[in-house]
Amino acid sequence: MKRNSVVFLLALCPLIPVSSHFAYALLISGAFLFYFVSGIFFRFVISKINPGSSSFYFELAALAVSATFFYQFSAFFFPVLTVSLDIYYFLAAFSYVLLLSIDYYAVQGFSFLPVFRFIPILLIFSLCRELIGTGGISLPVMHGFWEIHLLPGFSVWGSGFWNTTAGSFILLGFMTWIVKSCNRYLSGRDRT
Amino acid sequence: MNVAVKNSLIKYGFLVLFFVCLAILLGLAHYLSGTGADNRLKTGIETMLTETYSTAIILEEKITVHNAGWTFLEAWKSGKETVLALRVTGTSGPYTGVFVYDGVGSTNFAGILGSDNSDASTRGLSQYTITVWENRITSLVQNGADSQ
Repeated sequence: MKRNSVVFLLALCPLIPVSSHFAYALLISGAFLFYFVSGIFFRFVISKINPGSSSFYFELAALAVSATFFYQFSAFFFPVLTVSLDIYYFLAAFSYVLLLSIDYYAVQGFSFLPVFRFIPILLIFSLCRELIGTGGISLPVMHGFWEIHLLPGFSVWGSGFWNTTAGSFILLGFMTWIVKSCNRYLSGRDRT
Repeated sequence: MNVAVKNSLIKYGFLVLFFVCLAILLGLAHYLSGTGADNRLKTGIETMLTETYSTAIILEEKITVHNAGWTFLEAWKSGKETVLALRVTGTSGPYTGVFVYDGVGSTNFAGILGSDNSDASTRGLSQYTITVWENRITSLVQNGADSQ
């Protein structure tokens, strides 16, 4: 479990800028799901053709195609946010979490898929980060963000620090500590 | 032709066919979505610039900024000016920044696109970051921006 936590934490690091807005996290989560499903499909097709030791590289090429496809879909519906997120769509397609999930699915089905743990973490983290750092949450719409201000008086007492990269690392530390404490408490209760 | 060679040819033939199908799908997706996506982005930029400068700004044809890379794909002519929308990353994540090159020798940051608050300083973008982008755009556009 310790190793899994480290993997998730490292996987989140390149996506720290993306977690600054809930709208971004929603789009990236959609991208992850799309890549995962298309990755399974590509693995199935390529394993049927069986090109030998180069299978992995053909799968990566096919994943690049699916990233481009998602990019075009996103550019059509969310053109403004796609300019901000373009490079992250392609980073996500080759992330360790995704490739590991496709591998696990091929071996043991749905029993353990890191991508299904990673997506809720990303969504919850970005939601907390944006709420604490901007006083509201944003949703993706055609002309950019739809910003919903939830915390009254944020402009007076709020601090934008929590939406910065430094603040987000501290928040991530807090969240990891809370999750670990809960796990420890629950495992201790189960033993007694 | 022996059996092994024949099997290899069939196998790699299917692989090529598979990637050709993917390329066709991708081309089709680009054909169906490309113009619509560009028009929506263009409309968003025009609205934002019109609000910022209090005068109607119309973007004309899309242009290519040579030797500039992927980041500079969204660029349009507007009279003698060049308008660019690109990803600028500050301490609070990436945003779509709009820059206007005046056609003479300087670039100005017009604001952040797609947000209620287009003020860069409240979005983690420092003046230094903006100046770096402005200088970079000036040198790139001066060196070559052609109509597509």
